[in-house]
Amino acid sequence: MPLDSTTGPALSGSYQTRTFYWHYAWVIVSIIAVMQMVGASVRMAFGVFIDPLTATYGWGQGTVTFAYALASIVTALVSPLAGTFGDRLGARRAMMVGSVLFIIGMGLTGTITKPWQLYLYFGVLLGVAQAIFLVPLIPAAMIWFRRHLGLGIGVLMAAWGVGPALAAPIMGLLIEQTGWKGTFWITGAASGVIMAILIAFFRDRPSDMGLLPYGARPGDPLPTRKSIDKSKAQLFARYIRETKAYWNLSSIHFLGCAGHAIIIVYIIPIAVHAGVSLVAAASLLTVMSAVSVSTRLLVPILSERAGTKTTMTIAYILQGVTVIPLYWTHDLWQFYVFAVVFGIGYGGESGAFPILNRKYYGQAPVGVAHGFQMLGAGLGMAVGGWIGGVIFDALKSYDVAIAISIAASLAGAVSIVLLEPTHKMLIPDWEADADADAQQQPNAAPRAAPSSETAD
Amino acid sequence: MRIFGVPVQFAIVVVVSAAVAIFFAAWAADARVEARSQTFASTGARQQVPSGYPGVNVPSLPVTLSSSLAAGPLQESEKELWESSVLFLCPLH
Repeated sequence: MPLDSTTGPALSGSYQTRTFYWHYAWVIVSIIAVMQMVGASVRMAFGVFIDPLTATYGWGQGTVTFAYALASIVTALVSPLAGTFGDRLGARRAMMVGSVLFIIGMGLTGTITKPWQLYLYFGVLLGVAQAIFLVPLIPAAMIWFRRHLGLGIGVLMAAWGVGPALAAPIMGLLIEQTGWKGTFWITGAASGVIMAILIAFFRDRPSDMGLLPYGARPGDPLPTRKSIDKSKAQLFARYIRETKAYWNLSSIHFLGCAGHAIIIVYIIPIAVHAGVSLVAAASLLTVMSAVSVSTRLLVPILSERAGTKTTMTIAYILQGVTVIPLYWTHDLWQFYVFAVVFGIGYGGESGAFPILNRKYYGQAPVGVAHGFQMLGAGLGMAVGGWIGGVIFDALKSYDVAIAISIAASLAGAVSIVLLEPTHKMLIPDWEADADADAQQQPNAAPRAAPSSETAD
Repeated sequence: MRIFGVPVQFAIVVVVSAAVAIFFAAWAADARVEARSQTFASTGARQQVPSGYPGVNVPSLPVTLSSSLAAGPLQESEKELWESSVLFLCPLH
């Protein structure tokens, strides 16, 4: 059934009651999945560059890995700005800017001869680039789904889990064939070509192609314009900061990521300390990643159907409780069992955040919220990855670090329970409020949220 | 309820996380400084044995360490910037 928009093209496409059917939204999901894998590949596989860099210049491992930590922190700190950038200019433009920075950063990293150059090109430039083109992608995917968002996000999260498994061996092969400099240049050039092709097929919203969003049904509010104007996005960014969920979702993501970062980073030394060989210990990470793909896919779908807070709480509890047996884990088979059960909770940690954003803020431009959540996640990964080593330095044991991991995950679960109910949107009439505020008082606070059904 | 414009729940997570991170970082810094001091003390004591004394082996020290010991009495080892910072921030260390 064609629908008219007031300023955009006529919207076409029939209403569908099925959960899965062909729609350009799946092209968008595929583009975003590949963009994530390509854009984050060099970060995911950074470990393969450590030895070649230390061998070439004689730098210590700490000197090299600081670049990784710096890139992670820069990406986290820039994420809120990247979310706002995506909301105001659209994900497509953000991807273009981020891709150009990424290619320049990769090219320059291949020329380094001093540690400060590694920090500037890899740590800062690539850190900023990754935030700019990765953060607006999830909110962009959300725009394409009126319903069944969990399915789309599940596919994206699963792809995110597959990325590290593919990136490391490809980079390792390239280093063997061309050296680390050639790997940076070839990866940068190849990524640039792939990104250019993907961006050519990417559209910010269904109305750009005259389409209805995936899962649209009769009676849904019709899109009235091609894009949300920048002043309204700016006003929404101010409104959303008045909601508790904006802040608490970021701290929950921080706790969840700190909880699993400790395990991901230190499971290998923990296992080696217990007498497991290094090769077998390294395979534990592969098992965790492989198992996590299943829950990355399932949790967004379940959270949409069975209740977002309930699903998230269970995932956080699983992530925390499954770490407890690590105190009594000594044999290899026990470590494998641990990797499987921990992978279930770990995979489910992050998948429900976009669904919660949809429940709380509906079709509003949530890039600013997603960016702030990514800030929490990035800092959680950085703190979790760092504190285990610090504690080991002090105590010569990982026991306290394991306790902190458990406490962080369970504190996250408690925080989720304390979140607002999801059956009502938090700022349901934000566009009307923005219109009123724009006419009356540019800096006015948002009106209190009246009751309204959430988008399902 | 809000504190400084942010929800209490968020503020608690920030404050507790910062406190835990500072506490353990200060603990690690304390342990590192103490370990270095002990190394200085033990190597310094051995260095003070008169050279040529029969049956005693005087280890050769790195140039900087030898110089600092030769310059005067045993001094406390210098703290790195991050160690000084976290020890300053932590009231328990």
